[in-house]
Amino acid sequence: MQTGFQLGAIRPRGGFTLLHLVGIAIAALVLLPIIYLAIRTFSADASAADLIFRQRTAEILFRSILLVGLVTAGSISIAVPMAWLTLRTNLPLRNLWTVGAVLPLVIPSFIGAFVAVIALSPRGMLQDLLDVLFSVERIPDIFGLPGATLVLVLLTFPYVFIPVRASLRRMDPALEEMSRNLGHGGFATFRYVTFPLLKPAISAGAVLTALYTLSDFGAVSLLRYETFTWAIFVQYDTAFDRSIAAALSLVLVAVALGILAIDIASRGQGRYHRSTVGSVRPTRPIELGRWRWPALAFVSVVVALSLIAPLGVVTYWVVRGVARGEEVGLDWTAFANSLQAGGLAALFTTLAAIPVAILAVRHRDLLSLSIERASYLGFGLPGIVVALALVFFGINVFTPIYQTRSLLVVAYVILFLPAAISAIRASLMQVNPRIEEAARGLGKNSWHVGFRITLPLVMPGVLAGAATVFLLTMKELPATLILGPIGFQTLATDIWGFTEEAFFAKAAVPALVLILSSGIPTAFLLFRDAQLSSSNSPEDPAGTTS
Amino acid sequence: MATARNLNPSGLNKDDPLLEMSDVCVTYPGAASPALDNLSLAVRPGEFLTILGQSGSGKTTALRAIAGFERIESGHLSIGGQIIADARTHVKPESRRVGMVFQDYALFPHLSVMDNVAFGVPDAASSGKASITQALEMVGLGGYESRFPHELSGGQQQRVALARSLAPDPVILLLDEPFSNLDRQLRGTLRRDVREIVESHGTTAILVTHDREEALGMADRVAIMQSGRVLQVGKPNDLYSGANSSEVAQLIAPSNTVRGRIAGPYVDTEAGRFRYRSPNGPLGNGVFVDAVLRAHDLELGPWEGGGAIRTVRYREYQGEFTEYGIELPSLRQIYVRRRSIAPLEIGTRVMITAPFDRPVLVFPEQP
Repeated sequence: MQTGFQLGAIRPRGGFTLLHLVGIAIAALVLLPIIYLAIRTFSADASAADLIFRQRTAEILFRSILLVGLVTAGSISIAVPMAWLTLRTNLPLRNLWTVGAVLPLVIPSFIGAFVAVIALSPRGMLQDLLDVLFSVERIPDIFGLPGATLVLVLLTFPYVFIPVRASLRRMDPALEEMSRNLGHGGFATFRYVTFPLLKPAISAGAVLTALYTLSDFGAVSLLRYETFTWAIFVQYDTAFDRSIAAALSLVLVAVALGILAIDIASRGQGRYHRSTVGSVRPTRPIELGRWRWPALAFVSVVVALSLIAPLGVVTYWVVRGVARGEEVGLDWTAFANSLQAGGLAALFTTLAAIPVAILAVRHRDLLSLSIERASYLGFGLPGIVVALALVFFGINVFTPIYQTRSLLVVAYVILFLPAAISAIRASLMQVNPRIEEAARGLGKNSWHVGFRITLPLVMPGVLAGAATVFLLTMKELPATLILGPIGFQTLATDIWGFTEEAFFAKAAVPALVLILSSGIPTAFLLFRDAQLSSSNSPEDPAGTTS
Repeated sequence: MATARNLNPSGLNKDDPLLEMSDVCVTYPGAASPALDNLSLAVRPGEFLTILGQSGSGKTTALRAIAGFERIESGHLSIGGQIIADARTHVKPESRRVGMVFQDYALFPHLSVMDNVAFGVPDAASSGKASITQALEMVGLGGYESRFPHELSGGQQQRVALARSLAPDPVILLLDEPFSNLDRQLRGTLRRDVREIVESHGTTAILVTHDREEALGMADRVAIMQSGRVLQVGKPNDLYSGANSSEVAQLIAPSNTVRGRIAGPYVDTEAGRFRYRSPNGPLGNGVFVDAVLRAHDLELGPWEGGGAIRTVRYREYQGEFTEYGIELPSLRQIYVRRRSIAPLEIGTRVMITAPFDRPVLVFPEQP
C-alpha cells in the first residue's frame, strides 16, 4: 500500500459537491459504452447464446488462454532471475541491465512483431544470413504461436521485472540471513524464504502481463495467431453483421475480468506484513564467482533480443532504404496526426483524471470511491473492445461525433484514464491536507486554495500523467484503426498497414520515430533513478545501530 | 571445509575460550575506516557476555562476522579451537551453528509461529511437533503455534525469535540489540526472562547493546567497544570501579570528561578542585589529565564567592533524582544528578564537590 497523508490523516468530507457531479459524468462516460455493448448484444436478432457458444468461440478462447499462459510463464522465468541478478549480485554493469530490462516497455507490440517478421520470417534477414553463411534454406516458421509468444514475452517481461525488483529491494535482507543462520543453504533459502515473499509481486506482474497479452492486437494480427482481438477485428472489418464481433468482445471482457478476479482472490490470501520496524540495511552483493559469465550471457541475450534487436533491425531498414533511394521519408500527415491525437488525449484525459483523483484522495466517501473504481475500468478492457463499444454507441447515440476525431479521443480517455489518475493520485497523496487547511484558515475559499496551493504542488504528477497518456496514445493501435475517420492515419496505423502489405522499408521510419520518442525520455528518467538509488547508500553499511 | 556441527564444546577446558576472535579486521566497501580494527575477544563456555558500545562502534559488525555474514580480511575467528574464518577460510553461515537474534527479529512473515521455530530444526518433521511446542513453552508462548508474526506483539515476536534461534541448539547465541524496539517497561521484564531462558538452555551468549543498564545488568562479563576495537573486558563491577581509560569510564556511567591538572592529592579543573583516584598508577604534580566526573557522584553546594562562577542553567526532574546542567566558566555545560530534595533554582551559583569516598577518576591526557 502506498503511504501518504491519505490514511487516517483526513476524515471524509461530508456532503455532495459539484465535484461529485463532475465525477459521476466522467464515470458515466467510461461505463455507458460498455453497458450499451452488452445490452445490444443481448437484444440482437440472433440469440446471444447462439452467438457466444459456438465451436469457433471455444477455439479462439483456447488459443487466447494458451498464449496468455505461455507468455506469462515466459515473462516470469526471465524477469525473476533478472531482478535477482541486477539487485543482489556483483554482476557487472547492473544499472545498465536494469534500465535495459525496463526499456522494452516502450516498444509497441506491432513494432516488435514487425521486427520479428522482417528478421525471422522465411526469406527474412536471419534466413538470408544463414543462407549466405551455411546455406540453410529453411528456418522454422515464425508465424503463429511461437512468434507471438516470443515477441510478447520479450516485450512484457518488464511488467514482472519492475514489481519483483521493487519487492526484492524492500525485502529485509535479515530474513535471508536468518535462514542461512538457521542452517539452510543458498538454494533452500531462495526456495523457502525469498520466493514465497516475492509471490505477491510476481503475481501482480503476472496479471499485468496476462492482461497485456489478452488485449494485444498488434503482435497477434501481424504474426497471424488468431486470438480474440484479431478475430474481433476481422469480424468487424469484413462482416456486415457486427453482432458476432460484439459477442466475442463480451467473452473477451469476461476473460479479462476473470484474470482480475483471480488476482483479487489470490491477493486476499497472501497478505504478508513486514514484521520489522527498522529501515532496510543495504547488503553486500553476492559474489557470483564462476557463475558470473553465464549470468552475464543470460542478461545480455535478453536485453539484446528485447531491446537492441528491435532498434538495430529498424535502424538497419531505415539506412538500407535511404541507401537504395527508396521512398522512405516520414509521412508527415501521419506524424502530425499522432502528435495531435496524443496531445488531445493527454489534455482531456488529464482534465478528467484531476477531479477523480481529488475525490479519491480527499473526499473518500462511498460515491467518490465508486467513481474511482469505475474510472479504472479501462485498465482491464482491451482497446479493441472499447473501440467496438464506441462504434455501436457512436452509430446509435453519439451520432454527430461518429467518424470524427472526437470519438477517437473519447476512446483514448477511457483507455488511459487509469494511468493519469494513478500519477495524479500519487502526488496528491504526498500533499499534507494540513497545508490546504492552513490556507483555508487564512481566509481563502476552497477553489482559491485548489488553484493556488494544491495544483502547483501536484503539478509534477499531473505532467507525468499527461506525458504517459501522450506516449500511450502514440502507440495505440486497435482503437485508432477502428475509430479513426476514413483516411485518418497515424504512425501506429502506418507501421501496421505497411507491415501487413510487406512495405518494410516504409514501416521502418515511423517505427524508429515511435521507439525513440518514448524511449529517450524513459531511458533518461531510468538512468537518473538508477544513479540516485545507487549513490544514496549510507556511510555505515552495517546500519545505524552497529 | 570445517563445520562447527562436529564440535564438542563440552570437551573444552573450563578456562579455554569457546569463541576466540583475534586481530579481526572488516572494512565495508567504500568506508573510510575499518568497521572492525584488529578486534580481539575471547568468550568462555557458558558465559553471558555483553558488548557495550555506541552507534558505529562496530559491535553489530562483530556479531555479523561471528555469524558469517561478513567476511574477515585478516586475523582469525575460531569456535571450540577450530578456525571458522580467517583471511582465506570462510565457513558458510549455515554451517557454523551460531544462533542469531536480529534487532528487528526477522521473523518470516509468511510462516506461522510453529513453522518459524521449526525452520532451523533439521529433523523437525520426524521429531514432530513436540520439540517445537516445548521450545515455545520455554519462552512462555505455548498455544501460539498457529499465529502469524504480524498477529503478535513486539515482546511476543521477540520471544519467538529467541525460541527459533535456540531450537537448533546453537553453540553460541548472538543477540543484536534485542530490546531496542520494545518499550521501556517491557524491556526490564524481558531482560530477566531472556537471561533466564538462555541460562536454563545452557547456551553461551553474546549480547550487543548501546544501553548501559542492559549491558551491565545482564552480563557475566562486559566488553566495551569503540572504533572497531575492544577497549576493556571485565565483570560489570570491576569495570565500574576499574575503568582503564576515560572512554570506558564515560561509557560505563553517566559522566562528564573535563581537562584537569594534578596538584598534590587534588586535581584542578574548571569544574572545581576534587580528590582523585588514578587507576593507571601514580601521577606527578602538574601532569595534565582527563578527569571523569560521574553525574551521580557529584554534589552541589552553595557558592562561597570569589574565583570561577558556575551557574545552574537547566533542571530536569526525573523522579528519584533531578538532573542539573551547570555552566562552567568556559560556557561548557556539565550535568550533575542529585537526589530530588531541596531543588536548586535556575540561575543559582553553585560549587561542585566530590564526596570523600567517591574521588573522581583521572587518566593521563592522550596526546
